Formats: sequence, structure tokens, C-alpha cells
Amino acid sequence: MSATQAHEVLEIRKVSKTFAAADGKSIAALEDVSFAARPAEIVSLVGPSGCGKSTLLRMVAGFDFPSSGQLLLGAAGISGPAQERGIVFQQPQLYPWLTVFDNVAFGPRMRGTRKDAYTPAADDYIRAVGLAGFEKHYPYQLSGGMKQRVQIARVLINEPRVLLMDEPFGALDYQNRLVMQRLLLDLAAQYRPTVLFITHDVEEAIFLSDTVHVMSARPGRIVETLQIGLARPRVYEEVSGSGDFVRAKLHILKLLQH
Amino acid sequence: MRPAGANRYRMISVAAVAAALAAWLAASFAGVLDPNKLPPAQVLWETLTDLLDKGYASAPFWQQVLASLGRALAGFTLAVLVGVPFGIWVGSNRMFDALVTPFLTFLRPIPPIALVPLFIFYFGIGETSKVALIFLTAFLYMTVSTSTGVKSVPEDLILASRSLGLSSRQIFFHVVIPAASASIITGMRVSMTLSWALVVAAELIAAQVGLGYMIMDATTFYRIPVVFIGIITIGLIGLVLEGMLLLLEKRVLHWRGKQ
Repeated sequence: MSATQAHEVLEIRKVSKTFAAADGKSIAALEDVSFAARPAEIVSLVGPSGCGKSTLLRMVAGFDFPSSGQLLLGAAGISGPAQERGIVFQQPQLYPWLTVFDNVAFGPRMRGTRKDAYTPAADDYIRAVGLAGFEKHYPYQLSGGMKQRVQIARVLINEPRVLLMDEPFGALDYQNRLVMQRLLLDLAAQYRPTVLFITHDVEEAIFLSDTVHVMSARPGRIVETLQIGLARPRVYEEVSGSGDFVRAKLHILKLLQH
Repeated sequence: MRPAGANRYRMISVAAVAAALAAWLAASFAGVLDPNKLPPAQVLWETLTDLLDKGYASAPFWQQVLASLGRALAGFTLAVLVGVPFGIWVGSNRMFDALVTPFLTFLRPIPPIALVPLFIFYFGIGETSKVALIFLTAFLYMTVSTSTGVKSVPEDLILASRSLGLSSRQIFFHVVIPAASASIITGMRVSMTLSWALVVAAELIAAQVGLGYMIMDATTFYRIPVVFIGIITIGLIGLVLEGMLLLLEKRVLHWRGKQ
């Protein structure tokens, strides 16, 4: 339907990526990957290690470029990093010499926004990620989950169209991961960026996403795309036992075994 | 747990120093120390008051101290002013790195003392040769610690910054330089200690004033207590210099090494 076409914000078109290996041969990391994401859609990529899902995310971020194919945001091609595509890494990449407040406000400050203009925004986003009261703390004084909250706030303050997340909760313990998943759903509902989420945790992918792309091992290809129709807002304790959830999980696990 | 443990080890250090001092004082007053080998406390005290009073070899004691301090600080300051920008350049430009690193690598292991005769030949026995020697040694160290700091900024932190919309210039000044500051300030602390050790060594060989000169000259005239006063003064000043930079390190780099 061409009407939906116009609304698609992020489009990956027949993207392939080959790397030169040390021995001079080339390694196909991604092969002919295509999908699109609507505004405010949450899309997950799941797959085994080495399936090229991080490579794809880095290309959307503009850190790397495809060997063939196109990456589009709206009508424009992606030609490098930009604040419209914010990224959250698995290992928190914070500025250790800046406080929580200064980390969050860093983007606007560097763009020349006046302090009295960015201060309320920074306060809002710090509150939104649940870190009110920690503004003056330094990253080393925070737990792993809190650092991820800072990373997310620092990206959201830029009002990105796309939020890229590279296994952001992979280093957290189980309890914390559930808390952060809940937070991400709340933030996504409030700020409505398109979310491209990478994980190897199948339950996480299903719980968060509208769409899950299951990828194969190298060369990475999308073997199947699942629409997750679970009603929102989702509560993990309710959703994770439902028939749809369990069926999707078993199906994806089966796909990943091949 | 840990503060209690750290305190205990600090206590052990304090006790060890106190015990050594007590043993020396006891031996001093028991009269078993030879003033010309390991001078007793009374003799050192007399020597110190005498030095403060009359100076050494026609220059007041404070002038000996200031001469050495001045040379060390001059060489050190120049080394920081030149070495930090140079190190940033080495650390951020692969081409320049490849160009100068072989020379730096060759020069670094050469003991600076080996260069003293050549430096005297080039620059004479005046201030220039000593300051130049200190400069070269501290400069090599500052260059390496700065370039290491610049090179070790995490790749993903740079990428995250680009995604936040920073320009290359902003990343350089607001991400790379602050991230490298840890390595730079530690480099300064070590360079300061090196400079201080080196000025004394340089003065041993050729100088008319300075703590190194005083020690050398006093040895020639068999004035061993003066030698001891010189050594103790050098040690105490070294402690103060290092302590000041440690304090700076702790204040500015409180975030370092903590994840």
C-alpha cells in the first residue's frame, strides 16, 4: 500500500556488507537485508553472534557504510552520524569527567543552546529516566542500570527520530533488565521515536517490539519477520505467560536453531 | 572494610618511619655514630643552623635550594608547554606518529646523565645546559604520556559523541582532551619527579650553585654532615613537589580509574 510507504521513516533497502579479512579474502557479514520501520515503531533484530545485527545498526548510525544497497531516513540517504539517530551502547559511553546533568545536557550545550534554555529540558529527561536527585553524581557513582538511564536521557534530549540500541541491557542482571525494559516502553510511548533494538534475548525482543526480524548466522540475512500483536501497554508478568508470547518465543527459538 | 584496611597499612608505614627515626635518635644520643659516616642528630642540627646562618661557599643556603628548584621548574614547565601539544599531535595524527616515534623510542631509554657531557659541550656549563637536559627528559616523558592518553580514548565514546551531533573540532576539544587529561596529569607528576632528580645529577657534574653542587663540593672537602643535609633537603622537596601534583591529580581526576 503506497500510503504506508510515505510514512515509513527508516528504510533498509537490499543492504549487503562484506569485510576484507586478514588473509585477503572477503567475509560477507550481511546479505540482501531489507526492511522498513514506521514512525514510533519498535523493531528488534535477533540473531546469533556474528549475524551482522550490530554491523547493520552501526550503518544506520552512520559509522559504517553498506557495500551495496541503501539506508534511508525519510527520503534522505544516511551519510554519517547525526543527532536524529541517537545510539545507546551496551557498555555505557558516558563522559566520566561530567556529572549526570552535564552528560545529559552535553548535546544541546555543544550545539550552542543557552544554559537557561537546556536546563529545563535536561531536568525533564533526567526525571523521565528516573534519575531525579542524581544530577550532581558522576558516572562512577552510578550502578550499571543508572548509567544506561543517563545514556538514554542524553540521546532523548536530542529528540532523535530513531533510537538505536545495541544490546543496551545485555550487561545488566535479570531484575534490572526487566526494570529497564519497562522504562524503555514508557519512554517510547512518551517520546515516540522509532526504536531499532538489537538483542540476542528472544523474550526481550518479543516483549518490547512491534516487529521482530530474526536473522541467520553469517552471512546475516532476515530469515523471518514476526509481527507482535500484544496489546500495549504491556506488563511483563501478564504478557510473558500469554499464548501468543509463548508461541512467538518457541517459534523464534526454533528458527535460531538452524 | 577497605578504609579500615587502608588505615591499618597507613599506620604500619607511619610506625616504620617513626621506628627508623627513633633508632637514629637513640644511636645519636648513645654516641655511637661517626659524624663522618652517618652523622648523629646533634651534628646535623648544628650543621643545618650553620648552613642557614652562613650559607655554603659564599651563597646562602636558600639560594642553593632556589637555584636547583629554578632549573628543575624551568625545564619542567617548558617540557609541559611543548610536550603536551606535541603529544596531542603524535596521538591524533598517524602520519606524524609514524614520522617521529622511531626517534622518540630511540631517545627514551638513554639515561639523561649520558647526555650531560655533550650538553655541556653544546650549551656550556651555565644554566642552558642544565635546563636543556631537564627539558629533553621531561619532554620525552610528557610526549609519550600525552599521546598514549589521546590514543586510548575509547572508540565508542568518540562515535557516541558524533551521534550527539558534535563536530570533529568539538570532539577534539571537549572529548579527546578531557579524556586524555588523566594521562597528561600523571605524566606531569612523573616528569616533575624526574626533573627534580635530574637537576641534582646535572649539578653534581658542573655548577657553581645548587644542592647538587653543594653535595659534590662538600664531599670533596669531607664535610659529610653537609652532604646529609643536602640529601635530606632534596628528598623533602621531592616529596612536596610530588605531593602537590598528587593533590592536583586527586582533585581534577577524581573520576579516573573508577567505572
